Amino acid sequence: MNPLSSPLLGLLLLCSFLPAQAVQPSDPDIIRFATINANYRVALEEIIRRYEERNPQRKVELSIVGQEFATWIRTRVAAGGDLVPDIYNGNYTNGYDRQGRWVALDPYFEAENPYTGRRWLDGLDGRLIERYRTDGHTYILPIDYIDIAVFYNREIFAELGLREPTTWDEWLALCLRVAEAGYVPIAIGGDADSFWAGEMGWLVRLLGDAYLRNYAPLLMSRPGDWDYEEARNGSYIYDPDDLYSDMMVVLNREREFGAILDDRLDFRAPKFRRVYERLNELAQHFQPGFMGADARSATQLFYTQRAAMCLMHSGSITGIIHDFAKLKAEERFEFANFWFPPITDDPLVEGPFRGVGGGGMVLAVMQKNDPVHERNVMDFLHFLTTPESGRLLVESTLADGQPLTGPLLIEGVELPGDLAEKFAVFKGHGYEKVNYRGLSDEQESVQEWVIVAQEYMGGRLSLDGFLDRYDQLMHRAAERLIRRDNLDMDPTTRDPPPVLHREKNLWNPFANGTLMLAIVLVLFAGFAMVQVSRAKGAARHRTRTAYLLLFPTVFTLVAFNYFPALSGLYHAFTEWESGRDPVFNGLDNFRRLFADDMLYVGFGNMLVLLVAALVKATVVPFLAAELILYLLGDRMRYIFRTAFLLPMVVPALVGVLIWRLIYNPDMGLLNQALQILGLTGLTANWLGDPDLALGAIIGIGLPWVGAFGLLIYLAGLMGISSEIYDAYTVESTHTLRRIWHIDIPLVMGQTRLLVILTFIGSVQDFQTVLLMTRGGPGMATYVPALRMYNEAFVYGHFGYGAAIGLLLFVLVLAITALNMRIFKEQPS
Amino acid sequence: MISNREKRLKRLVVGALLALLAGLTLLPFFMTLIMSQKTNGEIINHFWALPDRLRPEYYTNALKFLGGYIWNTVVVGCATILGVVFLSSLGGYVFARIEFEGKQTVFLLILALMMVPGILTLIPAFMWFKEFPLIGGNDWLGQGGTGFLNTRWVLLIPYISGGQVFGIFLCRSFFQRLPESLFEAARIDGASEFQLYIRVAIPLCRPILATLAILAFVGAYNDYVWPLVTVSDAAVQTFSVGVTLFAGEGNLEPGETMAGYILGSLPLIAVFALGMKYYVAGLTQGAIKG
Repeated sequence: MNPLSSPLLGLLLLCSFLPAQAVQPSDPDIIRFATINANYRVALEEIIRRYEERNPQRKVELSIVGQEFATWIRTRVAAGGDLVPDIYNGNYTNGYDRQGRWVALDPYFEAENPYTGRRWLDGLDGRLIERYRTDGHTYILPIDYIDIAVFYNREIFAELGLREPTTWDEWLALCLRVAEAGYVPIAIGGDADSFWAGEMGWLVRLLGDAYLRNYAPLLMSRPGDWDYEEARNGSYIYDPDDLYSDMMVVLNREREFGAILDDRLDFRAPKFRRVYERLNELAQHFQPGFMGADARSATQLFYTQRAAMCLMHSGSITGIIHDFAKLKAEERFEFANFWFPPITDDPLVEGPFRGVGGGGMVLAVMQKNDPVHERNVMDFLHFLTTPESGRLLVESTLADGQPLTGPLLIEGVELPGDLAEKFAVFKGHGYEKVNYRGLSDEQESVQEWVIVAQEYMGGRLSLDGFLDRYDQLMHRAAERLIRRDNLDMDPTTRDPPPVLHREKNLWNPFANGTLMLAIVLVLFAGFAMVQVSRAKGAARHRTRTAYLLLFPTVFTLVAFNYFPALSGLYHAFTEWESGRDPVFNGLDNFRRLFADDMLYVGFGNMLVLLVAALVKATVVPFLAAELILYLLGDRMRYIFRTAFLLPMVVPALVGVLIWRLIYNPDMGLLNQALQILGLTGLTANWLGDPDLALGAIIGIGLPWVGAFGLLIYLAGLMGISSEIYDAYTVESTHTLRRIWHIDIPLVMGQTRLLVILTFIGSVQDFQTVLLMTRGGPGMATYVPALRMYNEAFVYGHFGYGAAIGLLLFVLVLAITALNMRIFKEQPS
Repeated sequence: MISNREKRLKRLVVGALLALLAGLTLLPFFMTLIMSQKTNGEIINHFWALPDRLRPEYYTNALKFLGGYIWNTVVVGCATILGVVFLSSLGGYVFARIEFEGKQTVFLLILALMMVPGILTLIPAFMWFKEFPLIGGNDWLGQGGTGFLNTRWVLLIPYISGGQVFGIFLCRSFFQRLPESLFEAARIDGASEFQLYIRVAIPLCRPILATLAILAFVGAYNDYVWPLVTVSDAAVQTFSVGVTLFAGEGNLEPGETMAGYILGSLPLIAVFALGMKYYVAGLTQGAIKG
């Protein structure tokens, strides 16, 4: 029997099952629609069903993507081609508007919507769409509106005789009264996500706009600028009392970035200082440790009537109503909301707070240079924004028990009466114009801002220190954006967007897997033939058989593991920005890497986590194994062994999610248990306190009796022959000495394996931190692997991400080699 | 001579200590089980209390959403087991039982793969699976179609291919410990190496193969980032991604989320229940000594 026939047959069989979808000309045109707004799932499915019924020659493929939406989009855009969605939440990939990746919607807005017979824009919220203009075009279609407001418990207010405050100072005084009465004044989500995309970030924008809106005249386009529009800027006079006066004004980015670089826009200026002083002033009244709380746990405080107020976004309203329906009557309460009361006693403030909200689901259309397809995509968007579809969005979503983000921006769609009343608070405040929570919403600068802002609010940075770091990060961001968008810093000329066209170099084996596979297989065959020819007699036959038998392994490894790894290593030496051609740039990435402060901080944290992980993986299971063996009786041993193995049946992701819940400050197991034990003083905000967060990450899995390690040690200890023990027992019966002198040396092999596996695993691990804290608060739990993930997938710097990956790889390789040597030198 | 009483007392202390550790280990999962039957209000206001009634509808709701995802993961997991077990045992056999030229070099080249950070290969792997020639509408240059993306193969292939590395390592240590005499007899009868592998080695190493099967299944079951980026079709998507969708679905009852967690654990419970004996034996017979 030919030793190869079976694996080859298997491979052939495998290949015959492979999907091969030949594209027929009569196939329907597929419109790909990807969204993170899972709450609309049922409604969208119904709308799509109706659309396809009317347009059988088109199909709409809906993908609801949960967390890590940006990663999902970026991998597809990097690969290009058909899988790139046509319609998606554009706010997740900043910069695509200027890169010419999106279809400009304005010509379509002006044309008729065939489903309503009216100009498309007339059926939409034109004012809000105005806010999404970039360089004279609009690329964004907002579907619903979202904003924040202060929600309060009417019964607590009544009990304390409080009324809605009319000024900021009144609000602060009211908070003091509430605190004296034993309630948390304001509950708010303050974790990294909340700073980045939630209530906390919006609060900062709110304060920013109140102080900074007079910057608009400095930043706006002037006559002669390429994007100057007489109708918009010509008649504009700064008027702090007119909430809408600057709405149409076009700001010029080159003027803006120029002002940042030459410090006319100085982030250490008194106005910025005041914004962050105000923020801290209000934060004194947030629940303790708010920086570890997500929006949901802040809401819980409000629900349980422990917090009198809560900063919530419009989408929470349906959530509260839905939840209250299930509470017992005595647990329900009346709630209402008010708009942020204005700061009145500060000469630096420009006016009352304006709305910071915008579209919740904001859709962009990917440019695919196919006019017929583009028309079809637009046709679907027309259908999506008819009153009929709008009503479906509201009704089906509510009927499905899902939250409604906010009022729909489609004309002719009304909310049910009680909802309309609760949503009324969001109307009529105008819209913010200037905000510097990061620059131009570029993800890298926003995330860096989140980090320094959390360091400041957690007391790790003084206000001065914070403002310095803030100024630096904005400078870096301006430089980065100038480079990214090819700006010549002359506002009178329009700068062409960088060329993005991706021409695949088929002769580069690091980019073409087929070529790499062919090369490596030829090399391997050559290597095998040389080895075979070197062998003599029977050895020759054996060697040939060995290489033949290894063929399936080598083929699959080269094809699916080596090529991606080599390609990754190669790209560490390229500048490869999301969706552009990789360009070889030598050691540039590594120069940047050695100057990367965040990476250094990350390595510090990684070291701590690594040491803890090694202890958790070896010492604890070893001790548990010793304890189990100390018990006589197989039954007892079996019971305990099984008990420690049980957690293995829980999916890893679920394990992490459960621990996130355990650390929840309000409804988490840990604090609840401490309270029961009377240790209320020890309760803390485990993930929110920068001093505790890293410890909390280490604490995951407490008491850390890992099943794998336990089994390996049990086996090792039981394998120690009784003669060795017998010989030893004669001399001494002391257990600890026996463990020290016999057991530990004899399980060195097992320890080595665990150390290596743990080491490899924990250097690479970023998933835990990503799911628990996103590296926060501040930099408290940031690790290099997370930096790699962020660089590659959140910021879109694949080349630099690959360079960090290469560094980690070299590190693991070096330490593993060292590890093997150290352990080998130990006499066993 | 230490008195028996003192010895018994010590054992009691050790037993109590272990019981405490075991209790702490299991408490979070026990609480998850309880919470899966409580309403939001009950969890907030009466954290430690039992639910005032059972709510099987939480489980049926969770199943309605997650059932498909769980099924997909089980299908991929089972197929992964077959592939990993076959390739690992064959590779392990070759490295353990056949003396051939260049063995160390090839073995080290394979082991080095364990140290490449998965995230480094994420983008190249994604593009490669999309541009695999002649697959999923692609031409021979890998252009024009979607390759393996959005099919079960995009999960299955890397799980098998990557899973075999540690598997080869495990099987090799196991096979090395088998006495040569077992093979010698068959060799004299003229059996080929492949026959030796099938007839002698495989039957002797069931425990290690079961261990491997469990590791392969658990690995496939727990993966998160790869299915997240390569699969967007719910008909193929796996549990890890499904459960984050479920939790983020604006799903307002935490109990349902908890029920989803429990449901997602069932396949792993089944696999462990079937293979636990072998798994423990595989790891405890000293197959792993590093």
